Amino acid sequence: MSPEPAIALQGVCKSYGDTRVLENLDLSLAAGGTSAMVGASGSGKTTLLQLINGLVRPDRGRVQVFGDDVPDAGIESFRHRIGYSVQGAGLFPHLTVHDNVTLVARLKQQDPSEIAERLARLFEAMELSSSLHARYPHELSGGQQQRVGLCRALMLEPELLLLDEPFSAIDPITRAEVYRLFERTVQDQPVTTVLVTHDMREAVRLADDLVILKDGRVLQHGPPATIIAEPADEYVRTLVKDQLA
Amino acid sequence: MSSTQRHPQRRAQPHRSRRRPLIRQLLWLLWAMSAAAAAAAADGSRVVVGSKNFNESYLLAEIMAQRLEAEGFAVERRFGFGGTLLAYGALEGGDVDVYPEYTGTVAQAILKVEDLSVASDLNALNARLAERGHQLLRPFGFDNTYAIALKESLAQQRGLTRISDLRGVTDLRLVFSHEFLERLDGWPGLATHYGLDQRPTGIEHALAYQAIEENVIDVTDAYSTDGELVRYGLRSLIDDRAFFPDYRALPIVSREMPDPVRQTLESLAGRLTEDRMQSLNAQVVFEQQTFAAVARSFLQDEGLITATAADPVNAWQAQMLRNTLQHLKLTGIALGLAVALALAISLGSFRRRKLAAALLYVCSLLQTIPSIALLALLLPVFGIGVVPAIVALLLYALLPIVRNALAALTTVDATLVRVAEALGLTPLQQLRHLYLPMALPSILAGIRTAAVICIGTATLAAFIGAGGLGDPIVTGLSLNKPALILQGAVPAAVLAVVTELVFEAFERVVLPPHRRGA
Repeated sequence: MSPEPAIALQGVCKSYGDTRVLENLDLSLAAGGTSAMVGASGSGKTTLLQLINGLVRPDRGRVQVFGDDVPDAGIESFRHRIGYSVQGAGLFPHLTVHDNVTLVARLKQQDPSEIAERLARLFEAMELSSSLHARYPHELSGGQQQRVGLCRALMLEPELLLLDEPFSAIDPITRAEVYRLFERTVQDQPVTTVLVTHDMREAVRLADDLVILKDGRVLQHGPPATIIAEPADEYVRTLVKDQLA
Repeated sequence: MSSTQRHPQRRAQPHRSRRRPLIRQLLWLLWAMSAAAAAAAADGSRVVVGSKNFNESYLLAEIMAQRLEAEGFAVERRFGFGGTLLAYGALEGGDVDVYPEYTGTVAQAILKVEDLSVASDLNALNARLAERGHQLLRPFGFDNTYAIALKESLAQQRGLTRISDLRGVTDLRLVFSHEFLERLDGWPGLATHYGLDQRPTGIEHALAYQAIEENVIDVTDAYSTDGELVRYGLRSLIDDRAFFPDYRALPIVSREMPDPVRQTLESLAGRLTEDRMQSLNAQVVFEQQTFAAVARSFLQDEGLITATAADPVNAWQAQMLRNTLQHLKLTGIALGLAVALALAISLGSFRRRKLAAALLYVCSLLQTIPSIALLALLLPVFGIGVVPAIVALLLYALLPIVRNALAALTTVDATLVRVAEALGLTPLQQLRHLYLPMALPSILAGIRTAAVICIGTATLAAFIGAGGLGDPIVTGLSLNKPALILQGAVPAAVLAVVTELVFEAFERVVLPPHRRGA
């Protein structure tokens, strides 16, 4: 592992009521790459992601991002350094595309010309027409909505990007296109990325580091090639075989 | 005289302790405003004449007002108080200087004495009123007591002339007003006094004459000066065992009333017999004359005024415009304050489920209080006039806004809330950029409902002398004058429609097309 991991979880436990979601979890994710959390529903992957930007707080243990604990005070400015995109995009229905993407930048009173410039660059990389600016989210296709959601996540030029199954609601043909556009966009603007997915194929396609989760525990953590070649146990073997066949 | 006002104190306590501090501050602010307004109005040069909201009270008040004006006093008319409690409350609060009252009502409703025979002793009543700083002037002359009435033809046929003749009569349908059935000086006392064992049922007083006319009922209670007694050919049975207390009509005034005013009012003493009053009442009820015209012709007959100025031709249009503007002012202010308070309640509580539910219950509870009772509850704090009318309207307008706002705020999509947090929006920014805009269509719909409720309910202002379109409606209802009712109801309906249109236009401006409701 590199000297300072982007994300470090130590002994993290999390329960919702009687349901234990994460069990004494230790995990380090390297800076600069894309890590994919792979697992079935209930494996704890989304909770893990939300621990990183403080949407969820651990019952026990420690969560560090770029060497610092997730703060209590000033959580907002901490989150401004972290992009976030979810399945279905989560665009605000009462705001136009333009206002959705630029909301936080405008609230932070960033220079309007800078905002416009970044918006244009992101839209170009995502192959979104500027004629969409004045549209409302419901007037866009699912693929367009998702790309707008990714633009919003990248608008503040974050150091870290958290993606919670942002591609899973798109039809397979469009999805391949969005993968390509996403990869091109983060090539222009490198960012440490944590992707949550239940799709092994997607994980292998986009990530250089896989974390296989089951019932709140890490079954295996390593580069895709290693996991495919040497699955740690029967569950991982089945996952690899079924999904990558 | 309304039974809904019987126990204001008992109900006021738990109600008041339930208010939130913010509401209390707001109420105190309004109280301070009302005090300031009262101080500004108390220049002492005007005589404020009040009345209750029934025919005879309006007429006596108008007679007093014109008599005072004829002697050069400036007069302000605050007619139509919704019952004894509100009218006397206005006198107590100094909002009214004089209004017509009845000795029996003074004994029962104001002094709350057990033995109602005191009602015939003016000195005894005045001795007790003096402790409260009030005084009864010399009576107008007639006694408007309860009467037991039936059709003249039926009375002759059955040989009924006295109340005691009713003893043992079991085949007549006795139907009385609800108030008469309840009051100690009504049926319960009467039945005991005369040994009557019939079991009468209840009817709305306004419907009783019609019901007798159409032979649906046989015997009912009446007031002895009601114009209807003559009109429908009814006989009042003689109170041969002197059960009913005196209900002599007279002005009730503050003891601080200046002597010249007092003397002018006493110049009316003894000038109205029962027959005379009955005929004056009938002129208003059946001949469709205005109170002003009937009062003027009476005073001219008595030689108490000389001027012959007639009603200005455009009087009712001007009055309608004045009422409409006043109505608009009342509802506008009440709605504005209600929106502010309702949003404060909703935004302050929607993240705390239990608190939100509790506040919603309080708003629902307020909605169930009848308007007269609510005004009675507000009386000790706000007195009468514009301020309590606005407070009452405000309280009635809360529920639709709070309910809609809370329903919308608590159902904002959880994913959007999570995204807003993850984007690093502060709680305030989440409110401003997510919750409020998402809830806005629903909030606007709530405000729209509240506005229409306000316009409809603002007629209650007439009960406490705050004016508005309720004035002609309340007067028209008590006189059964459809034209007068329409003078209030039509502008109110127009206001309601215009309000809908204004809100529609407003929604067009503030909401994108796909966010607009019906």
